[in-house]
Amino acid sequence: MIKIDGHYYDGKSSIQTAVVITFELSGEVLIDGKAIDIKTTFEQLKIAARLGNTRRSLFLANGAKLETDDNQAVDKVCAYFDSNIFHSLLHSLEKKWSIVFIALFITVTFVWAGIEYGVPFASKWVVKGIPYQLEQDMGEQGLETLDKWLFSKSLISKNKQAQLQKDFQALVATSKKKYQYRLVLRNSKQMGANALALPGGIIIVTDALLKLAENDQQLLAVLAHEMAHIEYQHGLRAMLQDSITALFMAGVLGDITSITSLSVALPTMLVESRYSREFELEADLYAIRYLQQQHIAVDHYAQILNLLEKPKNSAFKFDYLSSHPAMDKRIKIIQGQ
Amino acid sequence: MEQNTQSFEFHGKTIEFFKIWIVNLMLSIVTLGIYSAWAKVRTRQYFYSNTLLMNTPFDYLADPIKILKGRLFALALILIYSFSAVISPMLQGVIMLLFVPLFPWIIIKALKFNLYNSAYRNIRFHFNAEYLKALWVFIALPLFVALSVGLAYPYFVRERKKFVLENSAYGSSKFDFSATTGQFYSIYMKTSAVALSILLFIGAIYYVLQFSISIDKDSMSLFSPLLLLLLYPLLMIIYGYLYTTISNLAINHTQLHHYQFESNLETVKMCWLYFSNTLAIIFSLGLLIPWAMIRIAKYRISCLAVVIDDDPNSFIAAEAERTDAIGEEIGDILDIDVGL
Repeated sequence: MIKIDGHYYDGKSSIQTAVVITFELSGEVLIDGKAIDIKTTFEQLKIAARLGNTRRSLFLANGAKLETDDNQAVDKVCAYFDSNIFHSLLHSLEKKWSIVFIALFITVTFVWAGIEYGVPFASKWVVKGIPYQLEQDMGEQGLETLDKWLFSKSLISKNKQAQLQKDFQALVATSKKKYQYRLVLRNSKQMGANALALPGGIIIVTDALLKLAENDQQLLAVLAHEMAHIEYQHGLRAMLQDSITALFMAGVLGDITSITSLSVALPTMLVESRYSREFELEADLYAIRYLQQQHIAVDHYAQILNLLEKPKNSAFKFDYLSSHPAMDKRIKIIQGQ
Repeated sequence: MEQNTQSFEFHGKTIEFFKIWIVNLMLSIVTLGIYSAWAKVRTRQYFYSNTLLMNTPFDYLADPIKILKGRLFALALILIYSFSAVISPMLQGVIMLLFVPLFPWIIIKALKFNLYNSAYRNIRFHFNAEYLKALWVFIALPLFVALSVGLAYPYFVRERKKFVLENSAYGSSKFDFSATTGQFYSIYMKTSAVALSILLFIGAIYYVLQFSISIDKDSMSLFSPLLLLLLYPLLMIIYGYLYTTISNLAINHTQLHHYQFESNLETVKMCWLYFSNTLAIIFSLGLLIPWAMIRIAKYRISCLAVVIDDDPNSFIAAEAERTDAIGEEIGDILDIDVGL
């Protein structure tokens, strides 16, 4: 027999009555207080799972409720009668330091493995299932949008354009994939010297980049780099990986109020820019391999990257937040090949 | 009748909650998110039952299965929405339009679920609102705010608070809300004055820097990120000021029967909490999240009180109907701020 002090609420008014709850070995439960004399059984009580040392609720079948601070006594009663292991299991997990360290270890391992392998693998797998037609439509729509907001017609001479298209066709002929590649030349004040790859096979090169390049080999290297983005479906994969990451971060860190949103946004940004840098390096390696196959000096690629880097001359080299690896790192890798 | 002021108390402990938090996190990750519904209920329950009024805790009674179903439904909606963009932007536009009339309904459901699953002394809270009223507050008014170039925003905030509070009830007793539109305008006017002067100050610095070191244009790019970095704490102060003053105003004009609620949050303390929490979370790689959560709850709740002038036992419970968790979870994911 165990006696527990508690409070009784009938569920119809907020009146609080002090009671003594008596658990008999037979399973009978007696609730005694001022103007209260209730007989019930353990089976008819719904006892809330223990949570830290917060006050425990015991719900009666008729909607009334008991509250008690004596968690230990309730645990004893539960252990004697109850078979719901799940409830007591959670509390025993949540109170032991050894479990805390194991949980910490498992969490960190899972998060790391998820970021490093899980998310990239999953997105690679999903992207494989996307029909080619859809990919192509996305690219076309992307180009349409860019044309509306950023691009105007290229001012490069027809001759030069034809020459470039010829080089481009030779480049894409080396592809073993199904993509129908298309080189698009555009002028853009906002973008400066740049090249973009859209899903499905569209590669855009700005006039400024054509002017910046010192020779055709340099341009070819950039085109090979952009082509790798398409071959490896980097655009779609980045989109997927970024959404999974954002969803995950919001899920894990989302309980915090919106003002600390920096603590959600920052890790999301870090992970996403890391993925982006990996894609860039992968594309760099592809370009290098192509140049080597064509017996073009890899130095041309390093030179054009240098030229692209120069006007920025950035004082900040925040690799961790950047979508591209630091230029000197990339160039070192290229020259190492 | 004799008056007495009863303060709310928060008894949550950092270490105790840290253990609960890390186990929740681990189980959520290992079960690929399925356990997160249980984790949420346990977290909420921890904060509710550590919030005491007159030495009696609050209760959170939601069923995790319902929350899980709601989450899956919300996920499906998001997937449909983002996938429709891949197929065609037109389709996405259509789906957006379909979502508009659904939105007020979701908000009502979310508030219903949250309040119905909150209880004190075995009496549940309730939320009952007309759909058309929600349509007015959450669809028509935001449009009106946009049309008025933001001038109607304080009115919108007041209507939103009023909508939430006046349709809420504890048992059969409804809450009353008496803050006027003028009071909201006064707060926003003061805030804009402060914000504007801060922005002018930053603008001035930027302008001076622009022509004083203009010999070397490249080094300018170094200053703009620094200025942005300066902007973040300033935005935080503005947000903190708005949060504390609006919360105080709303709570100090809320009654239940003739019980008057009181709140005395201080901007400086709130801003400091936000700021130090952000830094602590970033530099501890997230390990101090539970500490930050307990800290904020402790301060917020310790600033809350209710003035009682008769027997608190006189509340009578109302009959109530159950509702689904779907709305709540969508509200959660979309981060709609309709908090009390």
